[in-house]
Amino acid sequence: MTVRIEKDTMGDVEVPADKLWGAQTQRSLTNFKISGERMPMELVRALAQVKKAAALVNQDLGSVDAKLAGAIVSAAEEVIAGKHDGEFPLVVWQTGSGTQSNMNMNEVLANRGSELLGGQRGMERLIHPNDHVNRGQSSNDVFPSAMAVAATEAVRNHVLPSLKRLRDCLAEKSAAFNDVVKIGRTHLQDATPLTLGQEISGWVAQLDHGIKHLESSVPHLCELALGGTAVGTGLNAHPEYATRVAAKLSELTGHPIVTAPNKFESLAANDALVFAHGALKTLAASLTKIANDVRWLASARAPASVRS
Amino acid sequence: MPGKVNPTQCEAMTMLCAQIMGNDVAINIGGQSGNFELNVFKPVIAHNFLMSCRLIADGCDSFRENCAVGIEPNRERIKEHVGNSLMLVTALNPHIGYDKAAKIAKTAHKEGTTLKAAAVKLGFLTADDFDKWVRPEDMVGPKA
Repeated sequence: MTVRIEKDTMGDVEVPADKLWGAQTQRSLTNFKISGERMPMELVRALAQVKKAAALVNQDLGSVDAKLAGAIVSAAEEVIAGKHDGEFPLVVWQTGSGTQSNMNMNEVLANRGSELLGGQRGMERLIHPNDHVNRGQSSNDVFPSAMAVAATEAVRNHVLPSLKRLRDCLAEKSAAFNDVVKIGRTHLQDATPLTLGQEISGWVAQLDHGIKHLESSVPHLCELALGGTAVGTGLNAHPEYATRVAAKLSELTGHPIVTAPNKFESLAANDALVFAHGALKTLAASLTKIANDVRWLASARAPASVRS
Repeated sequence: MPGKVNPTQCEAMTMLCAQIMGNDVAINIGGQSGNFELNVFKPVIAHNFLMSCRLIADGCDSFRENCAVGIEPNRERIKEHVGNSLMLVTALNPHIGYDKAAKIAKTAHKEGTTLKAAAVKLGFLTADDFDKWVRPEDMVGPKA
């Protein structure tokens, strides 16, 4: 294997020559050979979005040279487009702040950005992973910001539309079967009658509530930690950086992202995700009930058989 | 088992829901474990949260496309079960009272007869009354 030498504050590291990552990514690969769950690709793409927004704002504020910022943006766009998926090999079981994955992104964007400028990858590169790509940032505010973007994207673009499609499908069934009088069952024993439409309307209402619960979690998910830097005070960030980068990410992603009114909360807690997952957990309870009812009703000896 | 058709979409759905319940535990433990200025359980929270999102989004589409859209009632069998159910006796509560209605149900169950036969035999009402009062289609909503 051809290698090149990358350096970090701890010294030299051999990195496969055909890879864009640098010393800190390589150290993580060596020191955290734990199971195989990679950092989710949705999170990697969201992290690239964060870097793109940060570079654009750093350029506007004059914090990073426009030529370098432009190269970082282009490299980030390649990552977002899925051109470098193989450059993010780190597992979930690493530092709990996600610093190694943040550095993985910084190293890849620095090396790729350098190449886009006609420079090299490696220690002669034209872009520095920390001073340029990570400018005005800390893993401690970048990583929760990427989590916020990835979670919002997943909830708004994937989970909610899918839930609504199932909800609408069941609502159609409920209307279609409103004249089918069947025997109700409580305690798994015969009870008084109801219509199949009424029974299914209960499932639809469960999903309606679940959708509302999940939607209500979006505003907190959309509070961005960026600008808090290491502990929430914003040390080494431009005073306008936090609000500008939130506006930029909102523009880039189409999500109602705002800068967190309290950066200490957004670094030290993940309550938005705990709450949103509570809504997902509730939906799992609803969907279990619905799927169980469907299979019981479809069993040959059930008192109100359905075919599906 | 030739020709056997199993509720496989329901099984996939209930399994993925079990996984989401587990993810919730990991996320709760991660979420409560911040110290001072930073929570350092972020990767495990992100991993589990995004997994749950994929599972619910894909799971709902799979369940809908391959199961829910095709749900059709077996009307004959449903009618048969409604007609045979002793719990239709509940419609008689306002007319003859709970205790007499219960006696009709228990008699029909014990003697293997219909509710109507048991009701008439016990002398609590006439066959015409029974037909007028025990109508499943009138039992699916409140009535003044």
